[in-house]
Amino acid sequence: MTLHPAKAALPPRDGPLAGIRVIECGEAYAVPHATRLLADLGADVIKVESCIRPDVCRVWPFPDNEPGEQFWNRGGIFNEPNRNKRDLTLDLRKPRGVEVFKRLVATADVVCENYTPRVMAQFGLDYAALSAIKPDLIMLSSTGFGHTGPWSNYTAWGFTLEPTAGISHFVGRPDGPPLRSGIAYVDMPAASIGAYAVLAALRHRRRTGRGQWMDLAQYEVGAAFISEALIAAAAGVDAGTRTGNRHLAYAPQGMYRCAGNDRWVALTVEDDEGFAELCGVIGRPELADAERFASAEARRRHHDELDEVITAWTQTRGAEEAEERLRAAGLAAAVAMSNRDLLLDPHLRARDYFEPATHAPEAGDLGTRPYPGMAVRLSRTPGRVRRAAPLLGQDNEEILGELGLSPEAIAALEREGIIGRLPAEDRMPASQQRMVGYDELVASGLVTEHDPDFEQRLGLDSVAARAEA
Amino acid sequence: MAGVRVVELGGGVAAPFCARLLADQGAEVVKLERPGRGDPSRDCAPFATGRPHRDASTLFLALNTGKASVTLDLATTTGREIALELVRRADVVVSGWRPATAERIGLDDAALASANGRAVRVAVTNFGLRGPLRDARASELVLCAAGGLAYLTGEYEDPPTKLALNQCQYMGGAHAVVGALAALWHMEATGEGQCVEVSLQEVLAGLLQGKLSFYSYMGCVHRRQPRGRGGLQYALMPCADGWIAPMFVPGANVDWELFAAFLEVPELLDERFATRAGRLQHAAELDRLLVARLAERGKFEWFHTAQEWRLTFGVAQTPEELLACPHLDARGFWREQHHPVAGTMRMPARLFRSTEDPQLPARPAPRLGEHTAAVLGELGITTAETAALRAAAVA
Repeated sequence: MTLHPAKAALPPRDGPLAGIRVIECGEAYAVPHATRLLADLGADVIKVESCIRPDVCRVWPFPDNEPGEQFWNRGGIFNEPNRNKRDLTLDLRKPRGVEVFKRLVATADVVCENYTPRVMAQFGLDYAALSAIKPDLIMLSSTGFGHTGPWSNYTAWGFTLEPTAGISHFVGRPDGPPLRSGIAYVDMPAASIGAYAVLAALRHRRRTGRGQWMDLAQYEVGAAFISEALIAAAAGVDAGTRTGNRHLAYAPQGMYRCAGNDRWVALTVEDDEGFAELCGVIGRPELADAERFASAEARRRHHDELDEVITAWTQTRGAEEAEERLRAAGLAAAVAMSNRDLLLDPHLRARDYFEPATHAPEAGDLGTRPYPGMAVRLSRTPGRVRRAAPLLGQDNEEILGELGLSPEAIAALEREGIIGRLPAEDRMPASQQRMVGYDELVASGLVTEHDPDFEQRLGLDSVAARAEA
Repeated sequence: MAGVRVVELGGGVAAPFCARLLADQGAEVVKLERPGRGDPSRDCAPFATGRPHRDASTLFLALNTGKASVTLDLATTTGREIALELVRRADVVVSGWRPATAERIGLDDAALASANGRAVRVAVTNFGLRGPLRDARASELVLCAAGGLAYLTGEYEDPPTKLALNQCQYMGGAHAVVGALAALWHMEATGEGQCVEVSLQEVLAGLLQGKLSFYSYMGCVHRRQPRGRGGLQYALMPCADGWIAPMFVPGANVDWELFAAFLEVPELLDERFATRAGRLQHAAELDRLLVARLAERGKFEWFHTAQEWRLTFGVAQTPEELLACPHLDARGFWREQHHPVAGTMRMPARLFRSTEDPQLPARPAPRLGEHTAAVLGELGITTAETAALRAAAVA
């Protein structure tokens, strides 16, 4: 195999992808999470938004539930997947915006976009056009349904794709309706597969000198994540349906209520030895010898009874205590972790999982907050959270300067409304920002509890100190 | 990935899915399995044959297309030596053991690194290679709980609910392969291998789409969402023959008049429903109006007509309906494979289309030990020696 001349074995701290430039035209998560993975590993990701249409996720939640003066720079749903990126606003509906975009593409290795199929072509920025500027360009087009086929112009969100891709068929109680996950689920399979596609394409380019255009249909990725059911159905075999929290083979398995407000522990017993251990932990050793529980198959038949027996033990205990005692017996068990549990979890803290990012002053009192760290940890070239998510248009001058535009030319772009740092008022009206008080959030059930002292609990002061160090 | 050699150890779902994604791009993957039993996923129902068969688990068939299977008892010195020889020839090693198991077998990261310093070693674990929980057991449900997804999923009053099938482990494998390819990128430029440590819990905790910030910004514990808050954002809604997903993005401007015109329900234009605040305030009545109207048509009719109106609807499909989907068919989503036990199968094939598609031949998942003799032969082990190893249950 021939390799391009080895680069100096440099940038270990910033990750193995240092030197790779990625342009992202994405919103929500299906592409932004893909480019987050690349940015975390060192790629220079430039997020291209427009003031006319900023990322839809530049919304709630805000620090202390206050939109502040620049709400679009303060939203947690945006800030999580967009750290480590630079931000450029460009109005691609205007020829001058398209021209600047093309200049940017000439300097890039990869373009990742998630417009509906017609959009990039309407801008004159489809792969044919862009590869004329940069012949070995790698371009990922991630759409709901792909660029070909009878549904290609249909629109989708992660929420609507989960049922459409057949995933919801397997979520929920057997006697209840299909459900969606608590996140816009299909975005995340599509994002990780998108990052994988880009990395495979980079390697292909290094070996052959050839770029490529990749047409990723999020619908297909979602369906591929239930391949085992599709293969069964194709073979004429029962592919199954929702099972609640139960397992097809192992028993017992379930989510058991513990003491406290909405506290639960998940448990899976994988074999007869595990069942004997469980019976010991819950103080019912005699059940290990009962014939009706003698095998997984028998336990599945008497699962309801077992659930009552286990709940009788868990509901008088804290979830952490139940988890610890079940784990100590070698069983697979975990608290159903809330966002608070995760942020305060001793194991994740021992592993320094959460990484601080310090926001620009324009984001108001956002300051330094903890964010999920590396999805995967590379021992030699780990990457890191180098920078908080960008303000809208934060890096306009820097990026355009790198492209050789003079300060006068940049100022002209701003005058013409091609670039900017403020969202168009009619598209993101401040008045539409969600402002629901804490009491109402708790009363409506959207939120289990509100901790006014969360900053102390999280040790945000020491997080900030760590960020400075 | 032509020319990239991968050794897969430990089985399960996440590590094999990671290795399958490498095989999909043309890597040569050798999967080491326990003689007689094989990867535990071989025992998972349903089976393409309709009854249990080690070579016909649909989960195993999905996760292992395009790989070679070599049986090897790694608890024996000979078995471990042969495994290390394969590691020495590999570019990537993907393992799915708990850390304690890898250490007991003597194929932990330190052992792999000393056998082959230029290899990318991907350790797919439940909770990471270090930290108080590193050896804790997990199942799909337990991962779903430990990573924070279960707490957000399910009906409001129900227990936290598992995601579909093996989603957490698929997600883990899909993130592990990103680390594997990034480390391979570095290795092929520098000759330096490294460990790619994957904690499935950490992967999942990074997928919560800003839910962590409800606590780190506001101190709010984000819960499963109640129904009856306008119905449009979260719940699937019943119609004549199933469920549909009439989705409006919470942050976007809802074109309510368009929606009302599409549904042909003039009451929706009542001023009580004109604003989002009003729709939330009168959610129960709104739900009643919508449910009554949606019941008048079937799910595919709603889905297609909504899309023609440029309204973003989804439709709850079953596996059988996906098989009949004209769109998947037109895009060449399916691929036929012939498997000696399962017969001719329709498999989901390409995860994306590319102008540089590797055009790989269809290779079904291997039978247990199907490639033992061939792979050991490449190491210079003769057919007779392999037969002796088989007889001794080492291979």
